[in-house]
Amino acid sequence: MDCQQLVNQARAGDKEALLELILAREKEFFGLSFVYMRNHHDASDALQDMIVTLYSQIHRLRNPDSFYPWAKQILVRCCLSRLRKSNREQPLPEQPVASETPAPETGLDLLNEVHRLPELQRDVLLLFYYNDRTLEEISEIMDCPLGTVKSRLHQGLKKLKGRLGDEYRQ
Amino acid sequence: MNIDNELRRDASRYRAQQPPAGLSDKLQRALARASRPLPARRWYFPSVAALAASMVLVLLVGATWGGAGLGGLESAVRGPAFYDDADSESCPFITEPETVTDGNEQQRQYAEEPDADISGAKPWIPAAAGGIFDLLATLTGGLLCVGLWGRRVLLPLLLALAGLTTVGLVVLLG
Repeated sequence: MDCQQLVNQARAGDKEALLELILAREKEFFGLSFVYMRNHHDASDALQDMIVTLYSQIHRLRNPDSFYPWAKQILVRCCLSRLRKSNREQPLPEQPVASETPAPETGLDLLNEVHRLPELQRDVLLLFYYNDRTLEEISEIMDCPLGTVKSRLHQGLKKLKGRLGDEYRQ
Repeated sequence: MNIDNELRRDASRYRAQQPPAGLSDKLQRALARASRPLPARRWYFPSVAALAASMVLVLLVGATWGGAGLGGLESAVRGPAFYDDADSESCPFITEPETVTDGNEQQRQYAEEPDADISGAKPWIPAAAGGIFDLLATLTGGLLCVGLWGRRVLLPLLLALAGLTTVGLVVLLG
């Protein structure tokens, strides 16, 4: 069954069709969720939030072709909302959290460093590098001018370079 | 080493992340619990608007042609209740109707003929209007509950409706 047909069925309230749509790109969705949540448990929880939101909102989706970008946007919002909630309850520690993935060859865990950036810079970097969004799309998602997005990206990269500078030189 | 390239490489590494084995079951369970808000019906808001407009119409009709409503209007035209009292002699503004300004012709007429039947009021109209008004208010309230159950806007709307109903019934029957 093609994607458009499944989206139409999901819009009509078919839960199985919606599940099939998500499972068809399960790896992609999970990878995106993992980038934000940094552990399997929270990443799965964010995906659950996403599928519940998708089910309740899918009747508002006008163009079936834009289902996947729309679903990813909802997933990002679910992740950010969970992150903000957990930050309020338990502020991020100064030391990076041990990720469940082995560190890359460089010995750096960049993602942990990205997560230690101020919230707005972190969100821009995550959307731009880990979610493949353009600056224009980020400005729409974050509801701020393009110049602000560019500035946050620049500041985030600068801060990241400053923090990782010594380790890069090793 | 370029930080931009490093971030891109790191992102592709995370994208290759394998989802946990039970993820599809978890998603299925979450979806089974999910409920959907009632789909928006095209007739809903026009119906609520029509019912509210009917309530206002009934209120106006009842107040204009009904005896009770006109009683309120009449007293407003006549002025304060002490007008007919014996004490009114002590009030120079009232004991001298001819001193009323020309702009208040109608008021002077009522002052001269206090018992005149100015309305042709039908006493059954307020009661009927009150009944219809009450029925319309109940229908509107029911429709609001059905359409907006679980939404924050429901309570303020119901309170506004209750206020309108109370005022309407007081005007029609009071």
